[in-house]
Amino acid sequence: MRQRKSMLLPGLVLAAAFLIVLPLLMTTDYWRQLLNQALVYIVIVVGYNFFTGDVGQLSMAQQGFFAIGAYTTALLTTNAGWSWPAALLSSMCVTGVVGAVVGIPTLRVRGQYLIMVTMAFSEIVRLVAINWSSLTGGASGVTKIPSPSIGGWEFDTKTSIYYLFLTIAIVMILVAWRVRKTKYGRAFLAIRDGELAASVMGLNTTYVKVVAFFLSAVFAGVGGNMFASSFNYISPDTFGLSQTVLILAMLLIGGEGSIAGAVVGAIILTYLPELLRFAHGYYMFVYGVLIVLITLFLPGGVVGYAKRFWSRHIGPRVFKIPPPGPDAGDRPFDAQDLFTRSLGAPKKTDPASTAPPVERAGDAA
Amino acid sequence: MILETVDLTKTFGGLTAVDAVDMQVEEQEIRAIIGPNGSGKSTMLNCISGVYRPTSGVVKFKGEPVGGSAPHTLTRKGMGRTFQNIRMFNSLTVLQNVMVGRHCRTKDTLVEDILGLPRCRREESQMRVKALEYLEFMGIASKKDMLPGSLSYGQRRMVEIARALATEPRLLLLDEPAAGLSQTEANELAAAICKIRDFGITIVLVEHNMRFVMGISDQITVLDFGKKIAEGTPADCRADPRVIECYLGGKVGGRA
Repeated sequence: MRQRKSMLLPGLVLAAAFLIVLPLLMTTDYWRQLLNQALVYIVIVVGYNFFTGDVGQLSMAQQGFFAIGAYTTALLTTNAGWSWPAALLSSMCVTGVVGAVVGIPTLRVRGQYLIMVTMAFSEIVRLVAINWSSLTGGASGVTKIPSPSIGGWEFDTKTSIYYLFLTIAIVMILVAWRVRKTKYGRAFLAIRDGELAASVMGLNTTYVKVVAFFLSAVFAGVGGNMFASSFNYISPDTFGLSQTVLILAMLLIGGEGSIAGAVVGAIILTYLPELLRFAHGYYMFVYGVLIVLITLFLPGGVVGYAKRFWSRHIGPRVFKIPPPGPDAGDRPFDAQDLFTRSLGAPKKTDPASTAPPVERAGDAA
Repeated sequence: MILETVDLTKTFGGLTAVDAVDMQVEEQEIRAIIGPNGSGKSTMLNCISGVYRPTSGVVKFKGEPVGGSAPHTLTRKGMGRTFQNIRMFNSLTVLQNVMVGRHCRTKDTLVEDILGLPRCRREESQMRVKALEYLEFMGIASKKDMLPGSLSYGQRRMVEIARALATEPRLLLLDEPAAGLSQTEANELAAAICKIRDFGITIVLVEHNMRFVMGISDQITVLDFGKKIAEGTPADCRADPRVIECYLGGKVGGRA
């Protein structure tokens, strides 16, 4: 363990250096744009993981929240002339409120019904965006969305946007990590593993699920803001069903239920289409086959596989982690102490009742 | 009286699983509900713990009618339970499983958790300490970092009870706690249950293992086809001809 910790700092420095020079290694603006797109998807998929990964309920609503976040930022920064930070906060608030309002009635259903309800939600958002043209610009979308700026600081190049988005993505990942490490993260997993048992543990499961859904929505809102302000143009076409499927595929391929999985999945599926350019017309076919193969042969996704590979082959050799030893043995514990503290002194002591039952049963027989 | 059911009835379609059962459980009692398969014992437990909504009748917990309340509300009021087929949170470690039981006794909010504010850190460490104490009480603290899947059935049962105790129940409902345990494990469990009772917790258990039930119960309620056919001390029940009949079918003369 000590060896692992001592490698943490150099590892972090190395990773930071890599992330800082990364846009400078990209040869074209197009590749830098993809980098920013990957960061947008990282935020969205890390958020999606709360509900669909950790709580384990398939939602098709992430897309709808993404659209709402993007439109909120687009309309506020163009029509209303709001600043970018204010638009970011508004996107988070609007998607958060919509997430909670949609979640409270719908999260009582599960499985196929939940898929249908959430898919309908995303479709409604898209149809509203198309048909409420006086507000949303209809099918032609919103153009000339300003790039992000904080105070007088303009983020108008792909590289500067990259650094801004990288910061946002890291903050969002840290938030997700904190949630995962504390009470709500455990509650999410508890509900996935056994909803009835979780409710008997005193968890209001509907409320906890709404919290997960709310968090997913807020993350999608942030992603929507990033998307609108870096592409400067949005239209309802962007937010079709294929987008929902893409977000889901990112989570499955990266590894559901894991933050690292969400990040890796988002990166892989942002770049995969580019790497498959050589396939020309067959590109969608190759893409589909790859996704099928990964889901079939890598349960737990790429990250799940990497973890298993690490703990089986690399970890034991590199760090010489000893195999788990025999139990240290359970030290005797003063039960009196525990219950006196939480419940007050014992009220009844009947020596016969504390004796092992065998004798009593034997006596009677 | 901590728990009382009056005329408690639960029907599934045309089947009456629990039929007008009256039961009174005193504080600090160990009450067993027994009966042949399909006699409605588990259904009764599910009605009490809020998993099922009773068709009619009243469930009173600490004098307050609670029939139809959600399980999580009842847990917060001080009713804990375990399941017949142990339901662990399999992706959480043993310690984390028990910590989930402490959640309902904490007050830190989501924002505090995300920012790692003092209250969150304090509650997290208290949760950890308390959870470990309950594991030590059940004698399985050395397994705290393992996943439930790698424990034996008996150990998982102990974790499940530790997890239920972590919610600070006044009344603990155990659904077939000794099922699938070896004789040694069952004896350990019986000793643990008596110890829990001695610290002021009332216990209602459903059980098939007669040796176990006769050994630890103060009072026994016998159900047959959803109806209460007998109630009393283990000795009374063992001698009751109706109980013998329902277990052995017809002819009196066997030993329960």
